Parts: sequence; structure tokens; C-alpha cells
Amino acid sequence: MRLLGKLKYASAMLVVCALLLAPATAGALTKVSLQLQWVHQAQFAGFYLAQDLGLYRQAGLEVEIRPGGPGIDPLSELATLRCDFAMSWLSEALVMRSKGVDLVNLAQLIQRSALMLVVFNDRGISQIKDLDGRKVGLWRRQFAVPPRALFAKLGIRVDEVSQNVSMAPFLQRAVEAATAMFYNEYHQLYQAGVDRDEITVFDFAEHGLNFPEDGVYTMEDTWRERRQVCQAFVQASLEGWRRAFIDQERALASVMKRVNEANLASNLAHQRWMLKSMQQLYTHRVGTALMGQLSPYDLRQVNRVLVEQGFIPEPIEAKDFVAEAWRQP
Amino acid sequence: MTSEGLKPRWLRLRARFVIFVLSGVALVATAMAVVSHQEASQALLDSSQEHLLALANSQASELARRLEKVSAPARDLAVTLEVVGVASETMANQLISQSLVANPRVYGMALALAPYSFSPDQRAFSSYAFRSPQGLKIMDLNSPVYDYPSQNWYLVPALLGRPVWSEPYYDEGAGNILMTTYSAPMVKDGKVLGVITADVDLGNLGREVHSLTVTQGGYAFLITRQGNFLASPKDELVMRQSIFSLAEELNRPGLRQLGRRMVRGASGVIRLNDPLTKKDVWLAYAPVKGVGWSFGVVAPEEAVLAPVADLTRHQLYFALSGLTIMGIVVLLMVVGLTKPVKMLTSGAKRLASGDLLTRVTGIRPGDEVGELAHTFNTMATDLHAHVEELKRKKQQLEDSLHRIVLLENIETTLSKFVPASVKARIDEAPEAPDLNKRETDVSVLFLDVAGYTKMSEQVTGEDMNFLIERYFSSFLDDIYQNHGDINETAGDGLMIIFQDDDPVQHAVNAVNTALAVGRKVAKVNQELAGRFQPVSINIGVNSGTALVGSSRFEGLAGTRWTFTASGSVTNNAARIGALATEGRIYIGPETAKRVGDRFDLESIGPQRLKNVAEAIEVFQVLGAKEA
Repeated sequence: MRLLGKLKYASAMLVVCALLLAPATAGALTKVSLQLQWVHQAQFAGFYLAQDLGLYRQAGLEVEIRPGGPGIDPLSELATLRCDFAMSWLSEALVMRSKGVDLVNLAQLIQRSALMLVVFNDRGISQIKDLDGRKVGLWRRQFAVPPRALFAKLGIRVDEVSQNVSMAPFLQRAVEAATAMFYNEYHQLYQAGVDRDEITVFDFAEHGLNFPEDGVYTMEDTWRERRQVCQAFVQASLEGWRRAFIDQERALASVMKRVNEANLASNLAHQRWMLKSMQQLYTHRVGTALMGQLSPYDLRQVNRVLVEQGFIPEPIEAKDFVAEAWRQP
Repeated sequence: MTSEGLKPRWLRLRARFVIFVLSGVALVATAMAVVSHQEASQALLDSSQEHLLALANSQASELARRLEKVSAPARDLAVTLEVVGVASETMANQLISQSLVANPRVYGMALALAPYSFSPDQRAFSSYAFRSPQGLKIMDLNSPVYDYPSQNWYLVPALLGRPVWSEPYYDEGAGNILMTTYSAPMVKDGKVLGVITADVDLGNLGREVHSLTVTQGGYAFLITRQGNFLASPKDELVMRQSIFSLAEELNRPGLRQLGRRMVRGASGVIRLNDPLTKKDVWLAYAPVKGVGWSFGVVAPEEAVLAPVADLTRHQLYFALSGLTIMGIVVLLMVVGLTKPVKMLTSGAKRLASGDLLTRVTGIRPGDEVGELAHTFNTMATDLHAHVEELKRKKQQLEDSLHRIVLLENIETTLSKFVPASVKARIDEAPEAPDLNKRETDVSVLFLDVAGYTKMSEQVTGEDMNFLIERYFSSFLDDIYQNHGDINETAGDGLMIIFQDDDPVQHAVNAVNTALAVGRKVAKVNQELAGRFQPVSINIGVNSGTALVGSSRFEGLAGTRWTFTASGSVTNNAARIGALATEGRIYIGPETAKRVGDRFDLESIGPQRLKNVAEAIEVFQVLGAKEA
């Protein structure tokens, strides 16, 4: 009886040990890294959830999610092979590609541009044309592409002010208009006590400049040589996003865990808003089934504007650029 | 009778009194207390709020004064450099470090020139001095990562051309602390030459705000124009939360409205549930002038309401003591009222149980109860008197009844001696019997014991009486049966009067009596034969009209009434009787005439009677005729 009990105990311990050691001993987990565009926030909630729910592990991956920040350019990191995957806007990726960095789009995540210009209602600006000659805060690099394209199209010249990450210049009325992301700065204004009806929003997507934003990129070589890893990573990530949209509080817990660990200046209400916004932006036109698809129309349009603005000499062909790792094999 | 239909009271008079009076008093007292408490507490609350607001205003001013000590050196330096310009890096470093040393409240100071304004081939020119843990440190802010012209502390005042306090930020790459920065631009000819900044260490600011005197259990906080916390009881709020993000997270639109009033520079007092402590608190807020921030003082509601609570406690204490005193007074009054009532009740009970001499004592006169006691006592006295009177009357009645019984007995006894005719007359009119003489038709019988005188000489007096009674008793019944009235007894004789409405009948009765007496005498003679000499009774009867009634004889010993029939009929009857000898029965002519057809009569011829002029015929009765 006693011996039997001990045997049972020992065998149970063995099973537990086996389970614990399985991933390590199996050696099947492939280590990959993802470079985010910015610090931890709900903009990347799906990736966190995929990791926290073990979706990557199930896909045989051990993913390192690297936050971005000022001074970190994800595509540069990718180009120098310091990461396997990188997040980037489509426009920026096209510019990089045209500069000779052979990166490919594995999945287009944000289908709709979240970029907007905001103005206070009390400044006498009712349409974008009214910004002619006024101080407008613009972010640098590709963030400035759609506004400049729009201003050029409208034939106005604005006094461009280099805008940093905060909305303070706008809030202190140091600039008449500022660029803002729908999921971030637009809501920061609300959290700075500005009511929605106190500002007017100019949405670039509604002005024919829908620049698809966040997408997952890797180097062409990686895609060719480690296709399954790429597919596994992208699909596990998309599954993470689907779960995040279903169980948003769980996803927010994953977000806030990282926000708090990194001691970032943010709050839950803001992250909740951001996650809800992400759901709209990710599922715009494609729903949850075709998340990851890059619209050829959008690609053409972004190419056209970039060429017009002189960012690239000629459009980037889809066949070289679009890898569609998101598609189920 | 009426109490049958009424429900009995639940409570005794005493309890009822106390409860009714006390509850009435308590009701009035409570109403007054509530009103006064509400008014007083409102007044106290108002003054508490005013006090809180005054506190917020004074401390906001104090804070503004302290911050002025931070901003003034930067502004002064900016004004100076607008005039003299920046000649060299050494000069810049010297100026800001001198100013920093002179102003202990300032954590760090920077001099940052507009791009390319120092020299056309040098984009950036800056000098930053700050208090590092290793002591005063001077550094160049310019680096590809930091790029000060795009930092808000530079950008915003440069764009606006006026001094600005920044939002809180972590100055990574320079001061490396949480800070807020005052930036004064140097402007010459409408052109911004650069900015002079002065940093405030938010850690120090937080400690200063915490050290401000606030209400017990309360705290102070500071928010910027954007609602961001610069100082708060929870350090993690700083940099992360604004009052608006809190309102959003907690879904409290009211908090957002409060935040908007605060960042617009309003001041006021508001009651709310503290999102940090989850307690009900009062918040007073006031602008920090010259900076654009808003200062808030939070006091727990119990602290704000403490004077009200004190007031409530005092009022409650007074109300309770008042009520207790009132209760005692009422109790004493009720006892004073009900004690005499109880005494009266027990007195009435004693009275009811028959103690008529009982009196209620010890109740002071002068009020209604005193009157009642007096009335009670009077009533008891009267009652006693009445009962005594009743007893006396009863005794009298009993005595009367006893006398009546005696009288009845007397009557029964005496009536034997009263002639029937007299009885009849008395019965006719008992209260005033007519005993006067009336002319009545009667028969008179005289009866005489022959040889009475001789016999009385031969036997003893005692034997004589026995004999008389023995003979007379034997024929008494015969006399009564024939309705005769014994009128006179005179030693050895009797006079008997017979009356009847029928003149024949009483004559017959008289003769029948005479015959019966004769038979009885013979019989007694036979019984006594051998012991005494035989006795003969001689009888005379006469009938006619006589005066029948009472005759009064006045004498020395008093008045004596006799009832008799007087006149010649009586006299003649006596004389006729005197004629008879040897037990014969003689009757007068009138009697003979009336009874002649019933009895055998034999005339003895006319007889001369004493004192009678004419001789009258006398008849001897031989016996009753055979039927």
C-alpha cells in the first residue's frame, strides 16, 4: 500500500517534470524578435496577448517583443538584421524598399489611416484651406507625407512646426493645428480636458489619402528561407489580435502589465480607447477574417503620392513587396 | 352598566400621564431641535466650506509666491541677455550656474539659443546647470537624441514669445528627474533669440504641497492646465493620470466638469466622492496665479462636518437632559395628582366595605382634589349619620312591631272579657268606637247561685273559688255559643245580655242558655257529689228595649268604663231571677211571648216586683218543646 503510494507520487512527479522540461528539451521553439514602432501601448495589444496566451509557443516560436521609442527606427533595425520582424507604416516601408532595403510586407494590419489634423473650433478654421499661412505642427518623416500631399493638392502653404510627441504646443495654442493619431493624441486631448465638440478634425482618409499604417515586415531573404516561421509568427499574431478584440479586458491587462513594467506615463482609460480604436482600424473593410491583407488600391495610391512628393522615384511593385504571410496555407 | 361596553384602559393613569406628556414634549423638542440643528448645521457647513475655500486660496497664493522665486531668476536672466546677448559658452555657463546657486528652489537652469542664432554654422547652442546627486553639474543639452529645439520647454515659449510653465515630464538625457520647467524666451525685435529655463523638481514640489497645512485626514493636490497631476497623495498619479483620465476611467462626468472648471482658473467648493480614497470629501480649489495651475484642498466630510457633529452631540445632550428633567417634573406632578386619587380610591373601598367611620386624611385642601377629599369626607359623615338614623328607625319599627304583637296578644286575651257587642262596635270603627248608649232590643239573663252565702260559710275561701270557677267555666261555652255577653259578675251571680237583629232569636238564645246552664249544673253536681253539697242555679230572663252602651264611673283611682244594658228590662230580669228558687227558670211576659212556641212554659201568675208599679206575669220554663 505504502510502496504503491510512493510509486504513484514518483510517477506523477515525473510527468510534471516532463511537462515542464518539454519546451526546453524539445528545442523546437524558434527564437524570433519583433521591433515595435513605439513604446508599449494598446497599439500592439494583439502581440502581447499572443505571447501571454502562449499562442507563439503553440506555434513553436519564442518571440521577443521589443518596444520602440524616440531614436529607434524599426526598419533600420530590420535592415541591419537586429530583429527578425519590424512594424512599420506602409509609406515608410515603401521608401525603405526604394532605398534598396529588400523588405517585404508580411501583413498589413491597420487598414485605415488614423492620421488626422486637429484644430480648435475658436480659431476660425473650418476647412483645411484655412490653414494657409498658419503654424501647423507636423511630425517628421512619413508622418508628414499625407499632410504635405494634401496641402500641395489644395495649393496652400502652411508654417510647418516640427512637432514632438506631445500635444502641449497645440494645447498651449503655440500652433494652430497639429497632427494627431485617432487612437492616441486625439484621445490625449480629451484627457487634457478638451471636449470633443471644442475641436474640429480633418481626417486624411476622408480626403483621399488613406495611407495604411501599421504592417509587419521582414527581409526578403528571411521570407524566402524561413517562410514557415514567418507565417507562423504572423498568423499567431493575428490570432492574438482576434482574441484581443473579443476579450478586451484581458488584452488591456497584458498592455498595462507592460506599461507599468516600463513605468510609462499612461493610464488604463487611454489604453482602452486605443484598443477599441485598433479594432476599428484593423477590421476596416476586411473584417476579422482577412486581417492582414494589403489592398492593391491602397498600395497604388501610397506609391503615387510618394512618387509625387519625391520620396521615391518610381512605384514599388506588389509582386516584389507583398508576401502575404497572413494567408492560411 | 356602561363599563360593560367600554374597553378597559391599557395603562394606569400615572403611566398614561407620563407617556402622553413626555411624548408631547419630546415631539415639540425634537421638531425644534431638528429645525435649529438644520439651520445651525447649514451655517456651520457654510462656514466650514468658506474656511476650506479660504485655505485653498491662501495656499494657492503661497504656492504662487514660491514658484515666483523659481520663475523670477529665469525671467530676469532672459531680460538681461536680451540686452547684452550671449558672448560665449563660458559666459553662458557662468550666468546660469550663478543664478542656480543663488536660487535654492530651482533644480536646474538652462540657456538655450535659437538654432543658428549663436553662429550661422552652429545649429544648437545650449548650457544646462543642475543639481545632480554629485553636486552642481553643467552640460550641453545638444545631442541628436535630445534635440532641444523640439522639446516643449523650448518649442512652446519660442513659438508663443512669452514665458510658459511646462507640463510635467521626465527629463531623460538632461536633468533625469520628473520635473516641470519654467521657460522665459529672450525676444529682441520680435525675434526669439532663445530661452532661459528654470526647473522645479516635482519630488520637492510634491513634498512642499504635502507639507502645506490641510485639514486633519485631508490632503492637497496640484494639477496643470491640462489636468495633469503635479502633486498628489498618490505618487503614481503624477505623469500618468489627469483629472480627466480619472473621470474617464471611473466614468464620472461630474469629475470631468470639475476638472474643466479647475483648469480654467475657477475657484470653488464641491462635495464629491474622492476617486482616490473612495470617501465622501469636500474639495476646495483655487488657481495658482501666474502659473495657470489649479490647487485643490481635500477635507474628509467628517472633518468638514466635525463642528456640525459637535453641535449635534451638544444639542442631543441638551435635549436628552431636558427631557429627563421634564420627565422627573411630570412624574412628580403626576404622583402629586394621583396619590390623593389613590388615597380617595382606597378610602372609597373602605367605605364600600362598610367602614363608615373611615376618613381620607393627608390631602391638602385648596384645589380640586382637596375639594373632592373634603366632599368625600362630608359624604362619609352624612352617610354615617343616615345609617345611624336608619338603625334608630329600624329599632323603633321593631319595638312597634313587638308592641303590636303584645297588643294582639292582649287583645286575644282581653277579648274574652269584652262583651261581643262591644267587640262588634269596636270592629265597626276601631279608631273611634261608638260606645254610647243606644236603645236596643235585648234579652237579659240573670243567673244566681242559690245558697251562696250559706255555702261560703261552710267551705273554705279556696274551695269556694274552685267551685265558682268550676260551675261558671262549665257553662261559659254555652253562653258564647248562644251569643251572650257576660256583663257583670257579682260574687255568686252573672248578668248576660243577648242581642240579635231578630228579636225572637236573642230571646230564644237566652232561654236556650238558661236550659243549658241548668243541665251543666246538674252534671257538675253529679261529678262533685260526695265532696260538696249540690248547687242550684236560679235564672231569670226578660226581653225588651234597653239602653245598651258604656257607662263611665269617675273615681279616685281613675276612670272606669263599664258596658251594660240599663233600664227596666234589666231591672225586671233581675227581679224575675230573684223569684226563682230550686234551680228554676223564670221568664218575663215579653220573653214568653217571643219563645212561647218553642218552649214549654207554665205561668206562675202575675207577680208584684220590687219598685214596679204593676204586677207582671212570670212564666217558668219547663223545657224545649218536642219537635
